[in-house]
Amino acid sequence: MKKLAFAAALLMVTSAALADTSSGTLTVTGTVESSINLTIESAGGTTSGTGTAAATSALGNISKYGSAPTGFTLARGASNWTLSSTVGVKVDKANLTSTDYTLTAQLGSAPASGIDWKLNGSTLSDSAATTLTSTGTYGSTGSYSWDVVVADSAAAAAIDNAINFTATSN
Amino acid sequence: MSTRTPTPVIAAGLLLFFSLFLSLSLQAGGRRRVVAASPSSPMTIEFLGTAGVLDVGRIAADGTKRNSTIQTRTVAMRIGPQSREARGTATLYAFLEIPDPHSIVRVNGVVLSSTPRVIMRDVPVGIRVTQRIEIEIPKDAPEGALQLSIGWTATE
Repeated sequence: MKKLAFAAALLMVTSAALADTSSGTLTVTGTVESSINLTIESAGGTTSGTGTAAATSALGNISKYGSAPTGFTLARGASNWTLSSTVGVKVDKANLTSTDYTLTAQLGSAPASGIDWKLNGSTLSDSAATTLTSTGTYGSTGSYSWDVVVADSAAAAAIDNAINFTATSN
Repeated sequence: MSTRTPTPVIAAGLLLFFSLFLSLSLQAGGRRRVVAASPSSPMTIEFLGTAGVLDVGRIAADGTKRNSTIQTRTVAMRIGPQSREARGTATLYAFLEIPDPHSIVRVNGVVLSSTPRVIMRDVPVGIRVTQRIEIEIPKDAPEGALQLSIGWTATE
C-alpha cells in the first residue's frame, strides 16, 4: 500500500511539472449611470407609437354635432363642446434610488383660438409647464384625464398640437 | 539507541530519482554545455490593444423593458510568446479576481464567479484569439463606478 502511495505521489509531481500554465488579468472599468424612461402607454383617438416616447393620436374630423372620435366621449355645452379621454403615461427607472417622480406637460405650440387643451383639469399652454403629479410611481401607468374644449366660435380648422411630457426624478 | 534502516520503498524512490538525473546527464552527452537562456519566467496571457484594461465607458439603461443592460465587448489576447503559428493548444479558464457585487460577467456566454471555469478548450497558443465579454447591469443596481478584474489562466 505504501508503495502505491509513493508511486502515485511521484506521478502527480511529475505531471504537475510537465503542465505549462499562463495567466493574466483584465481589469474592467466603467460608470453605471442612472436613467428614467417615459412612454405613452395609451391615449384616445386612433393611436400609434404607444409604448414609446413618441405616440400619435389621430382624432379625424370632429364636430359638435358629429360623433365622438374613437376612445373619446363628446359633451355638448351651451357655447362649447368637449371631447374627453385619458392619456396613460409610464415612467421606468434604472440604477436610481429615487422613489417617485414629478410629471409635467406643456403644449408644443400655441393652441388655435377657441381651443383649450386640458390634462387633469388644468389648461395647458405652450409657455409654461403644468404639473400633473409630483408623486408619480415608477413602473406603473398613470392615467390622466384629457379634454379638448372647443368653443362654438372657433374657426373650422385643424387643431393639431403636441403635448410634451417631462418626468423628473425626485 | 537504535537506528532505522531505509525501507525498501524509500530506497526504490531514491533509486528512481538518481536514475532520472543520470539519464538527463547522459542525454547531454556527458559534456558540460553552455546554453544562452533568458531567466525563467512564467508564461503570460497578453491582452492586445487594451493593455490589460477594458473601459466600457458610461452604462445607462437603454429604455427597453428589459430588467438589465448588457454591454458587450470583444477582447483580443495571446497566450504565451508571439509566434507565426500556433504552438499547441491550451485550455482557457477565467474567474473574477475582483468581483463587482452588482454586475454579472460572462465570457463566451459562461457566467464567471470566483472559481475558475473553462471558457474555451483547444485555444491556440502563441497567436491572437478573441473572447466575447458581457457585462450585465441589473436595473436595480446602484449608479456609480464599475470596477472588476477578470483573472485568466491557460493550461497547456
